[in-house]
Amino acid sequence: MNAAVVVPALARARPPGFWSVLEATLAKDLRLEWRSKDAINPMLFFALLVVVVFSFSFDPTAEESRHIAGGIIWVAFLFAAVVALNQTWSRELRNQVLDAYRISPAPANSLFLAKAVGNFLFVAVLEAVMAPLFMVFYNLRPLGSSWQLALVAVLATWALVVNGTFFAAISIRTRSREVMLPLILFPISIPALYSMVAATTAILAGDASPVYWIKLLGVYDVSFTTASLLLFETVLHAE
Amino acid sequence: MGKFLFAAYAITWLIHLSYVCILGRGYKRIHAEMNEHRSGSSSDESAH
Amino acid sequence: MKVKRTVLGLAVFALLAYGYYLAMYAAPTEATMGDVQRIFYYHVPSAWTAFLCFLANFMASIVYLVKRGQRADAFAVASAEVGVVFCTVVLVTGPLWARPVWGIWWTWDARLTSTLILWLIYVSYLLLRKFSTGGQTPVLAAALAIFGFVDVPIVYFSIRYFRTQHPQPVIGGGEGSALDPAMAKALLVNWVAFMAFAAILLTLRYRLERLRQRAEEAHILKAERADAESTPGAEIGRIR
Repeated sequence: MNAAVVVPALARARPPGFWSVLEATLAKDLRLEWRSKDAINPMLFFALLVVVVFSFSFDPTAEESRHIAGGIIWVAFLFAAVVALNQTWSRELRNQVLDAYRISPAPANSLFLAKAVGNFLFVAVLEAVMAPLFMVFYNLRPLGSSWQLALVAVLATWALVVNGTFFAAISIRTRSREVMLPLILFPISIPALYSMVAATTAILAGDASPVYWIKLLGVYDVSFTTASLLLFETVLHAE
Repeated sequence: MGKFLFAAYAITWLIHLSYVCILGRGYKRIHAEMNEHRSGSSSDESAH
Repeated sequence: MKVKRTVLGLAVFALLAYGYYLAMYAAPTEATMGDVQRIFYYHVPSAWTAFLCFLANFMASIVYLVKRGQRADAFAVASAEVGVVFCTVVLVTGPLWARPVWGIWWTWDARLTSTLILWLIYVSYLLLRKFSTGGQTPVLAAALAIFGFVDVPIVYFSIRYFRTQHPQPVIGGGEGSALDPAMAKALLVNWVAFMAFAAILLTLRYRLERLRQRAEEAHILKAERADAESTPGAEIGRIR
């Protein structure tokens, strides 16, 4: 996958429709990942390690574990997500594909959404692996509604991934880029993190309503998806 | 109680004065750099 | 020009001194907390000033992205730095107030919590500016600044509900509740004084940044000229 292949491929899509580019980019990423599995395998093992380490650090047998499990799970997911996000653009950088995207007429946002959706799927896979393990280690059984839990997971994961993908594009132009990404991502994500933890805890413990937090996550997702779509082209063209 | 009040006011001004000192150092450095640039461009009749 | 500057500087100093006098002596001692409550006259104005600085940074960042002017960028970095300075003051005076009054150093009340998050966001902004390589730092930083400020209302909404779930001691009974007029006067004077002081700091930092921008431009010009002179015939057709 290099620039010589991408440019003609993108130019062939006439006109480079938003959805066709999105689909093509996403399909390419998924296919490459499926063939090499070079990102997903270490990340899966990392996810497993995180669950185990957290289970040793935060006693799962304690009385209150049901109330802190929400926080533990999302912090673990956050760390796994950062590992996934850090490699968002690394393949493109290695093969100078980013320059090809810059000069191609393809809409920048379709590239962004393709990357964001790809990351969402990656992180979702990690969560799908880690969540059952947490349920087992912490003896969890949601006392609240399960579909609400799924909704929280979707909204929360998108919240992390949409900003993470955008900031990953910013951090690749910095020194110590691997640490720059969490450094700029975490502060802005704090209200989302609090919401996802509060909602999850409310559902797991079944003692409060998660609705306010779900709404806040929704507002967060809409705000930052809009901001990312408005500003990604600017960031992509910045050198 | 008085010592917390005193500490709060003192540290507030310490923070502000530290920032002013940082700015002062920044100005010194930039002026030094500009002077060096001026003397460095010997053959160049340029700009300033 | 120099006279005007000195006069303005002295005026701000006088205002700050007056504010100090009001805070320490003229304002009545608070009934429940005692003298420690006087920290409020520095704590609250600093919080408001910091917020205004961040608002200024937000607007400057937008202006920069639209017009790409160097002045907007200089103002953006200046307002972020000054904002962080005042934010730091809030984060230091808060615990110094909380400790003698409630016995705890930190409390998750609305102002302290949101100030902490703002401080983190804008420190990350400053770090991005510092660690960014290449000439497009202002663009990337402006994007981050916009994201950071968009976050602010969401932060407030999450903290408001957080507080009803975890009732916290409220710092500053003056939050919307009626203040003794003498206290209100001390608060207001200190706020105006600190805003004026922030304006001075902003101007100083802005000028410094403009100097840096010009120095860097001069550097680049010098390097390009040296480069052109050493490569015969290369001056023509250079792609920037």
